[in-house]
Amino acid sequence: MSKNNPNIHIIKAEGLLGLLKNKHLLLDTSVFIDAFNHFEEFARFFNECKRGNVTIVTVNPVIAEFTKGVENTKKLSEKLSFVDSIIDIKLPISPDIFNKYIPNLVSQYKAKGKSVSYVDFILAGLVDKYERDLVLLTKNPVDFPLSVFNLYSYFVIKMDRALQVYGIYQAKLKKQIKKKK
Amino acid sequence: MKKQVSDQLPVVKKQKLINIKEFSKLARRVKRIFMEEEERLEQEQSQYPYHQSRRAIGLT
Repeated sequence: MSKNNPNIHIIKAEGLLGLLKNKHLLLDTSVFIDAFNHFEEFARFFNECKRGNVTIVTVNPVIAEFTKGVENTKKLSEKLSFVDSIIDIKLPISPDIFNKYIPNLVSQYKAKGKSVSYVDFILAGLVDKYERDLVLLTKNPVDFPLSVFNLYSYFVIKMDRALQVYGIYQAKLKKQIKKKK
Repeated sequence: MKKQVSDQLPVVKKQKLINIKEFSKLARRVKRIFMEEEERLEQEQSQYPYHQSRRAIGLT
């Protein structure tokens, strides 16, 4: 239970931590924003993950989204320290994400891709590339449609007068796609 | 010869746990920074007619 707000809890889907074991969990920008709004719950959740050998990661475009708009270098370094205190490593983005995976996803998304940000395509490309080992944590179900991704698991943040759902998305395994065809 | 970039995900030997006390302090400071940014953005938007605002030209 939180000291700063006793009415906030994270309710995890059954078996969530077991499913995440030994995986890399990629964080979207919305996670960092909620992590400072509900810091105790998120810190505990991240620590549970880390104890289960989950590696918490993000990428530079997400960090840019989170830090943009800062007035000065002191505030920038505080935001960066906040990100660094959560993640275990920053994932590099290899050229094939831009040359192969994103173009492939653009064709899979079809009309749904029109409003998707480029940062979200980068995250989607990484999830697609590392289909077995990397899953994405996001509050944004619109840009990660279930026609392209599997909803691997989820958790709910229960607040006094609101509920927020976080999805954990995995790429549809290439084997599954081939079988369907 | 160009150095090959590994296609494997980088792994860490041991994940670093979050120190909740330190994290709480940092989170409060970051929250304040975001609130200041929001206020500044609102002020900026209220100073300009809509057609000149950041939102109108798609920057926010």
